Amino acid sequence: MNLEDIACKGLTLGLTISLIILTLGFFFAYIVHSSPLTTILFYAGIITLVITPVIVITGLLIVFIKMREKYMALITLTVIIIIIISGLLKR
Amino acid sequence: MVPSYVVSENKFFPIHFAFNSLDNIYTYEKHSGHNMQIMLSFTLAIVMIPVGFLAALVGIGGGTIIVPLLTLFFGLPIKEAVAISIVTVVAAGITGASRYLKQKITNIRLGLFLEMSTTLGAMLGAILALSLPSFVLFLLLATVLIYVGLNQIYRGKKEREMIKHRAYEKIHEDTIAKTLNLSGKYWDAAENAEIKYKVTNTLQGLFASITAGLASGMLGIGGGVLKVPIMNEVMKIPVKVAVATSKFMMCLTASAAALVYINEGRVNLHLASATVLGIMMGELIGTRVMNRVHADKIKMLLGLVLAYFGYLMLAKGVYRFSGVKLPGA
Repeated sequence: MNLEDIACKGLTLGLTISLIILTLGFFFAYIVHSSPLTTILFYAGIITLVITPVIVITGLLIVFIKMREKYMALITLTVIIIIIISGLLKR
Repeated sequence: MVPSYVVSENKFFPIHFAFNSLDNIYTYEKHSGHNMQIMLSFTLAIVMIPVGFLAALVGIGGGTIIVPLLTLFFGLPIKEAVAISIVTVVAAGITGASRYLKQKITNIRLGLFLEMSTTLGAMLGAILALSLPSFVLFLLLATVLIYVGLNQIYRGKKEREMIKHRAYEKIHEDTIAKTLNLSGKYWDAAENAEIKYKVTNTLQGLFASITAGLASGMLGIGGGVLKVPIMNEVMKIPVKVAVATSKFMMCLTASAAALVYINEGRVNLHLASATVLGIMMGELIGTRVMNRVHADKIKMLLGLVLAYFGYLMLAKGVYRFSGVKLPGA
């Protein structure tokens, strides 16, 4: 399996799960007025969506390490570190 | 139209935030009319479909379109609109990236390579923004965007000729591109041919991406609008690969920012869910269409979008410098 397939499968899986959860959220929002379940579903759907790229890029790092592509692994690691630092700075 | 809700001030306990956020949304849901909410959600989702479609075609996140839409047409406070926009950009990025990866247009290696300097630039930009007058930056970026936008429109036909004559294949690949195996190929559905391309000017592209990141961090715009022309014009990458790679890069950058916003309880989850669903639908349609459209048309559309962004930046710059309010400022 190549890099594109791994990234594609990871992103599609995250997207599908979040889409199902969000649709369920709307389904409950339409039937049940102001249900805490609706809110939890929306929260879970959005969080699933947002953490998907983080999981995928970590997966890519592991693949680069396994393929012994040291430069690409280093670049991916740098990207992860910079993203974490920039996230912390924004807080 | 939409009542604002309390935003937590606590910045040290993310789990506490998460529940605080849930509580805020629940309170918001209880106090706003149910039918009104449903109507607003559906309207938002429908309005986001064309935004997602456009974002998929030209490789942008759509934040610069979403924020004015939410504030001007839906009456949301600017802070709430920005938070929703960031989550929506993640959704746009993931949907676009997954579809383009499936079509094997995205260049992951190139995306990661450029992401390194873009995120670094964005981080530096956010720090520098505190010390530089913003109107200068807005006016500078406006000039660049309008120039690049007009250039893209003018050179649209050249792009198609380059693809037809396999010019991207004949470009001299530089050492860094060779070492990192950055060059690639994709299937162009509009031309019904496999297009091979070689990456060049890698260092120039890396430095130009820092500038794109700086502009993004300083002015709060998404990177896509600058990343696509940098890849296409500086690194000589076909515009469709640039669009697809930009989408992949975008979902990485935006997710970090979105996590911060969610943890701090700034995202209105109900409305964000609606915009996310809408943008996903638009992106799914747009990503199906993009590879079937000829490259010159995409480049022209990109040029128009860049010119529009250029105008927005100009309006903001003029407003901050002289107080004269042009439409869109």
